[in-house]
Amino acid sequence: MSSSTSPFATSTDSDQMLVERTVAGDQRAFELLVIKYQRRIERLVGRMVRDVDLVEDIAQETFIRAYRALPQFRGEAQFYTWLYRIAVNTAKKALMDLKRDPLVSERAYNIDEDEDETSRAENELTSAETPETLLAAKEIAATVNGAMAALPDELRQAITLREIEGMSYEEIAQLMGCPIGTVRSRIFRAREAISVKVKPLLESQSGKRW
Amino acid sequence: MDKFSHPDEWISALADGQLGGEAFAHAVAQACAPGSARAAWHTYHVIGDVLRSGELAGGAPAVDFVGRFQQRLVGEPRLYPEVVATAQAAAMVRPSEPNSPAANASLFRWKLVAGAACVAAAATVVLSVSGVMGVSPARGVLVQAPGAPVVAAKPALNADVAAAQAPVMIRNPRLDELLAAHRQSGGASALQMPAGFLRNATHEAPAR
Amino acid sequence: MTRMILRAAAATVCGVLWMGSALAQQAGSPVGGAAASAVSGAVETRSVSEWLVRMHEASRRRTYVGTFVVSSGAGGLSSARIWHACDGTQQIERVEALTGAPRSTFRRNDLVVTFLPESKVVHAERRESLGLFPGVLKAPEAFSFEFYAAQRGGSERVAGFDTEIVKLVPQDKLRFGYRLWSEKKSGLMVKLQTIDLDGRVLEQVAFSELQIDVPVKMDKLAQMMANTDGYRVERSEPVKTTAEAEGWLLRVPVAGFKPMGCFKRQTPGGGSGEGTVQWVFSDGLASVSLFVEAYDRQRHLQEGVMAMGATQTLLKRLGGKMGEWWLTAVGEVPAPTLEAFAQGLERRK
Repeated sequence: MSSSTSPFATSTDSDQMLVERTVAGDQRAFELLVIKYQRRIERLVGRMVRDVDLVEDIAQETFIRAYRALPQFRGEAQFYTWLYRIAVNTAKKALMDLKRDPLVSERAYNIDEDEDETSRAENELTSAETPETLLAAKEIAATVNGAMAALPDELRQAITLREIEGMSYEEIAQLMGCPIGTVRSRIFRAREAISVKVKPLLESQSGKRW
Repeated sequence: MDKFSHPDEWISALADGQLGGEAFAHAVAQACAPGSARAAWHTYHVIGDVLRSGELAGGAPAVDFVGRFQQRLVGEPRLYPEVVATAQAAAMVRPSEPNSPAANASLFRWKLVAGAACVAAAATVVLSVSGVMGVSPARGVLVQAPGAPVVAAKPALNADVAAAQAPVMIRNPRLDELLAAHRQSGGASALQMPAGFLRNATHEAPAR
Repeated sequence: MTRMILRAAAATVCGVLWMGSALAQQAGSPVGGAAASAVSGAVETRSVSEWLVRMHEASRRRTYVGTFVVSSGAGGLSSARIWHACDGTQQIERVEALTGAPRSTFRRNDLVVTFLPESKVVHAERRESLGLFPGVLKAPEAFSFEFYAAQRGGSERVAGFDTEIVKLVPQDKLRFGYRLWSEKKSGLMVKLQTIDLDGRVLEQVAFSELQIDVPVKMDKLAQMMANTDGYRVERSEPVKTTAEAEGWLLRVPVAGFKPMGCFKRQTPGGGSGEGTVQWVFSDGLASVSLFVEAYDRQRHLQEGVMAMGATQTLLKRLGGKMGEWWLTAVGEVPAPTLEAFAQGLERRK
């Protein structure tokens, strides 16, 4: 099972284990974390910086810094909380380098690092988007939502409890009154059904495949 | 353990922290190599992100982003875990134990108990929140952090946004000057402060 | 076994992130969007001007620091960081652009100073009636806001604060509507949307993060504002005049809009010319500027309408009996309203 410092901690993802594996020497395991958090980090940085290229540069820099600092990550906090702080600091530094304004002080970017960025208003445009990427994003979101609506009830419930309510398989199993294996299967089938529709859109974004 | 129906079901379980030991290592190896497993890891996380927020459907194409990151990673030295004194930390660094039911039985039981307690509370909370709105964007808020505020989901601004309908006119410095002068007319609107002023302070370009 | 039935959400003011159409609704439970805790469109006890006064009082009394984002429907976006301090008698603000060219704007009451680090230039100007209280609210009898109705839009959490949504609904087609998110305790405006006649959002100003009642050092801000070392200071004070003196009148007034002032500025490239006259109108929430200058065949080439966020611009040649003039009408109003101004503008003498 997932490792945790406390028997009561319910770890619902593989972050900690991927971190450990990376530190143990498997560089590629870190890429899975990059794939997982790329969008969230870009959105976070995009709130502070508008230039599309700069947003991506800062995001890249964030992940590299996180990689280098990984041995010091003890796992007391969530990996993403730790990554979030690195992103904020990296973006701050980049903005300060840009401005070189003697009036700007470190206090000028006193962003509350403990604030969960999901608590902000959701209907704001991310700052670093072109009309084309906006349209592509809309299409992806619409496809995911449409595919969700088309799912059989028990599949949709399972994936909703997992992705939106953040419940563990055990908790979902309790709630839905079925074995964990069934939970795993339902979540997988829900994801597959949505993937079928969304994957072509993702692939056409870059023209390349994994 | 139950049978997995499809190779990608491993990736799905991996994403949810359900694998340990050899199963974990196997799934990670699959997902690290180029191929459909990696695509699944990516797609499943896009789905999760988008369900929580439509905003996360954007961003640079992942294949390109990761490709660039890989190039940078090549230049980085291998990591070595920091030597830690405590037994607890040492346990974290040790490779995961095989996921045998016997070895993990007590741990699993603990989790079930903790989970059950959470579920009872969660059932009520989830019912009331999701009953009103089927979506709660802050993952894990209800179960893991009951004290945290429950955030209502809101749609992307895009849905309501009017596309620029007028034909694009050529901006010129003179026009910019006049626009700036218009904004300077200050207290002509009750909304000027702070909204208009803020809007203008961000939009103003050096006119001269 | 608990059967989980996830319900579809009713459409709220802002819509729904996703809605499963096949989901059943649990009988007997009230339907409503989580975003709106109150019934939308309920009778509003506070009037438009009361909401606005509340909003401005909050700004007058509270200090705050935050990051806000200005976004337009066309996709343009900019963000800045703001520090706002006040002590009851004066207000100081600092706005630091986070996007685009570096720019620091300071405001103390009606004095606005903008530092442009790239060119080492400081622009200083007095913006009339930008003071502690905007001009329109100083004389409440001048603006009845009769062309807007206030409606409650429910409640929502924005930037970590509980806010009440107020819709300012235009009562005719000459103006835009607004949605205001007012922080519940203080009345501070946390988000503002300008809505066009079709209900679409033209522009939004919103705090992405905000801390209210944080200690902001007024004297430090004042110091920064006054420190122009190494900068060249440019002052711009448009000359106050009257439309009458400049020879203009609006023969057909546009409903709800009152003249607010008239200024004269230099026309570029023409030292001998009359300059450009700016005639400002407002209906209390929206403002319109009519810029009139002598027609110049070489510069004035393109007539038409353009939109930038909520700001519409109309370019038009006024001719015939009035002589040769060029009008640039700018305002946060629908284009036909600008056209109405253009039609009503007439030359005296």
